[in-house]
Amino acid sequence: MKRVIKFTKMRFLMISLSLIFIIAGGVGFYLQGGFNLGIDFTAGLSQQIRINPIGAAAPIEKVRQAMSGFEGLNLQVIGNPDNQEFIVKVQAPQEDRDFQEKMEMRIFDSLAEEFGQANIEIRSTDFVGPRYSEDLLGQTVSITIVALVLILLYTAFRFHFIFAAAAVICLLHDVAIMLGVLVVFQMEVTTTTAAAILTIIGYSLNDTIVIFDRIRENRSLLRDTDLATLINTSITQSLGRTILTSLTTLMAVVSIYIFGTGEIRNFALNMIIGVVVGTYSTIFIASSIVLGWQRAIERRRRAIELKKFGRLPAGPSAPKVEEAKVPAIEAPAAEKPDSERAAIAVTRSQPVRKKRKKKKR
Amino acid sequence: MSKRFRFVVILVLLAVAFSFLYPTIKWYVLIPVKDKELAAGTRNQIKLYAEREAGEALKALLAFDSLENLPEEYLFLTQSAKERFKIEKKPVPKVWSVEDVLKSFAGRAEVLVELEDHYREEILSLKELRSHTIQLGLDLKGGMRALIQADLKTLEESQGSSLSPEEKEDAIRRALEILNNRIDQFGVTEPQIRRSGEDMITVELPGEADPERMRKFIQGKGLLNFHIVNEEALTLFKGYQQANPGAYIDEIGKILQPDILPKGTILIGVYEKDAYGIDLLKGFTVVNSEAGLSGNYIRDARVNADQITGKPIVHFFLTREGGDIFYKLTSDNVNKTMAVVLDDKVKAQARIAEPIRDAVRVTGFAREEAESLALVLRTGALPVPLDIINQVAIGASLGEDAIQQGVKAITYGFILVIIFMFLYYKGSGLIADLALMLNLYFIVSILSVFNFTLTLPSIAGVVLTVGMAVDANVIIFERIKEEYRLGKSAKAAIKAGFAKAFWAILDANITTFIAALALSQLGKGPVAGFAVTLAVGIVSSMFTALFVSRLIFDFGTDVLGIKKISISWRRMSR
Repeated sequence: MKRVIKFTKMRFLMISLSLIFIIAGGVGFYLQGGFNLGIDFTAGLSQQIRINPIGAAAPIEKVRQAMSGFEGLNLQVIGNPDNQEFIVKVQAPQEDRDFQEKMEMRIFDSLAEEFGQANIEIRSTDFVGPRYSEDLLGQTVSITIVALVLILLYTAFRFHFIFAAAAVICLLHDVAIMLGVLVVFQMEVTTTTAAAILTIIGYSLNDTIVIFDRIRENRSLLRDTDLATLINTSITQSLGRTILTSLTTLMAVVSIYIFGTGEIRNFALNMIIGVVVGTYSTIFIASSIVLGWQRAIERRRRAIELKKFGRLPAGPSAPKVEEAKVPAIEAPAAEKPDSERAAIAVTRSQPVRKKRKKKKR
Repeated sequence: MSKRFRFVVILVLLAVAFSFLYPTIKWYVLIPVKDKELAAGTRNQIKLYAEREAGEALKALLAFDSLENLPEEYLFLTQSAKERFKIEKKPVPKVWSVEDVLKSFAGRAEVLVELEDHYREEILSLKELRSHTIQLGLDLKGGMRALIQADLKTLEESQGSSLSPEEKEDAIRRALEILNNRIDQFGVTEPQIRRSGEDMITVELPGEADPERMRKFIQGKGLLNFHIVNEEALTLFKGYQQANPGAYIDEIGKILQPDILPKGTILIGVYEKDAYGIDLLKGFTVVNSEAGLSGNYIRDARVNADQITGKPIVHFFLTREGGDIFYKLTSDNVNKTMAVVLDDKVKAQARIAEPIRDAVRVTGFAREEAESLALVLRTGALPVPLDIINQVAIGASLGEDAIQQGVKAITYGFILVIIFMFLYYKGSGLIADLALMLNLYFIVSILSVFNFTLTLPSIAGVVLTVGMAVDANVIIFERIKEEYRLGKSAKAAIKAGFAKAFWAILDANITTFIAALALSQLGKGPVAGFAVTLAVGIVSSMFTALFVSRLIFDFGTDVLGIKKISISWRRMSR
């Protein structure tokens, strides 16, 4: 077997690193004054405009100047500046029925004055009313929560609750770091961002589950090993797969990033960040949480037992009845109850149980 | 399962997938652009087209030498002609001449009907075909979408009381009626109008990117008017129509020779609801261009049943002022026909039996017709203000750019992954590549059969699926490698590799699938499209990895007797 890399040894370092990232995101949120919400969430008008013909001297400065009379207007160049293409965004005030019409005309007129009516090509218009944006924001948040709960339930059903909780904490960690990057670099947050975040939730979870699955499998194969070694072995064994899948996914996403523009490019960028964060958390964070949690339970149990009986019981408590039935296998564990030997009863899965029954006979 | 059985399963699935895919291929490759545009038109435009084509065809047929053989393009006429020959017990000719065919018809009108049916069916079958293909979303072909909300608050204020659920429902139906009625004003493209949720309506206009036009389409209440039918002018028009079959009106229903009609009259279309509740052009009538009464004077309209016969009666009530105008109008035009016109379309006609004041009874309709007339009349009484709460307009040129971006992203992402898999896994990599290609094939065919609308985000979903789809294969290969290193035979390593990878793949994919399902609930817009492709991709990638790849491996070891697995870019230490 390959040399086992001791990932769990690095867990305090890695968790600190993650915390630093998350705190940095929080500080960024405070300093930047919140997210750069796209118009789907804030209500407003967004237009993608091109000044024709290409090569006419219409640099962004000139466009900016032409539109200097607008309050709260955001101007962004798209793609190569030589294409003279840009996006204009204006937020809509609450309940102004004619806002869209008036603003469209104002934008067009100001540009027409500078560059001539025939040269202005409105390539796309996107208007979101205040009522719609409020609905959308609420909907996005509630759907994300529902998705997380469903995932928690399924994982708890397939593994142990601690594993499910660790997986979900890990997902929250990914989302927190992604949001941190978004807020620090003031990248635009739109429905597409929400899509990217949910996709990353699915992706990172996929990664994490594959490792948990390996832990579950190894548990019945390597019954004499402690949880930390078990986790490290499993991560090492799956490492090739984890990295390969991240690579192929990155290839696809980078390809979208290179060839896409506008919102799709944003999506790809979010995804790239997410894939990197997701892979990192799969390797360093998810299993560390399981280990830490299990040890905390163990310590608490010891403390209670110590109080009750004034001494430690003969072996680690067996949370599962069926394990207690197999004293011969439990015995070595009972002889050296060191702290590394946390109880590893973490599964309810069908296939593993079958195997164990075979052993008994 | 035996290998042969599994092979047959795969073949069957491939064939089924192809049958799903075929309409899309046919639509995008085999059908000329002109026909596609026609098929995208409204039913009324198709009817007008068929009528015009029929007129021209008849003219062409009459111009032929009557003994000449029937040209191939008109051979469809012989089918019914044959039947008529048989009924009349005449010998059916082997080679049809133009005369044979034409004589079998009772008259020119009958030929015209047959021709018109043929041309209409031709386009309608294309329309049917289109409903089984992948369509391009607005962001790819350009167009507009607006989400409209009925402003029920203002309606309540103007009415002075709060609306019951039925009244709210009726308000939305009135708004839909008015919007549907205006569909024809948009040239060839067929706008989509559908309800979204309780009080919202989504309007999609493919090809249009001028927000101003959308506003005109949506805003302003419907114009409801009563007009008196001008009988003399109608007779003149009918004569003109018969003299010029199929060539009396233009594409948008305007008369070609306006001077046929006397001054002060106009030609307008008469519409009926078809089985789908869509207005269908039934014919034309000529009315006095000045409206006899405006629909603004209507207070309410209801459908009741006649107490004796049980037949439906539409009752409508006018304001006092309206009643006076209506009394004068009906006194002057007893025994003439009155047309109910909503936005330049005749929705109903009725004969005036006697002078009437403010309470009007209209009879002679079937139940559904009566309901629909009452709805039309209420649009005049209670206009529903509509607000655009979300609007997207995308120019066609931007759409073309987007398609190019999407195609490039898919192609390059796909090629990169395929090359990488081959370099890293060698021979087994090729199996994964094959599975990946099949995967793409299955995804497209499933999207096709559900008449999926492809948008840029859904293309991103496909690209992402390509990246993630190899995951199942990677998990399996890594396990096979491990088993192989332990010294197992190729066959045993493959068996163990697949068995051990199974649960990991299933658990991982089900959780991702949950996330995709949740995503698909996020609005009806672009994100949902992305989620659907992702979900379809997950299912299809599991199938190709667990079923197709496995069969190829088994085939290699059992049939070809391969003893060494080519699965790594470096030599495997054993």
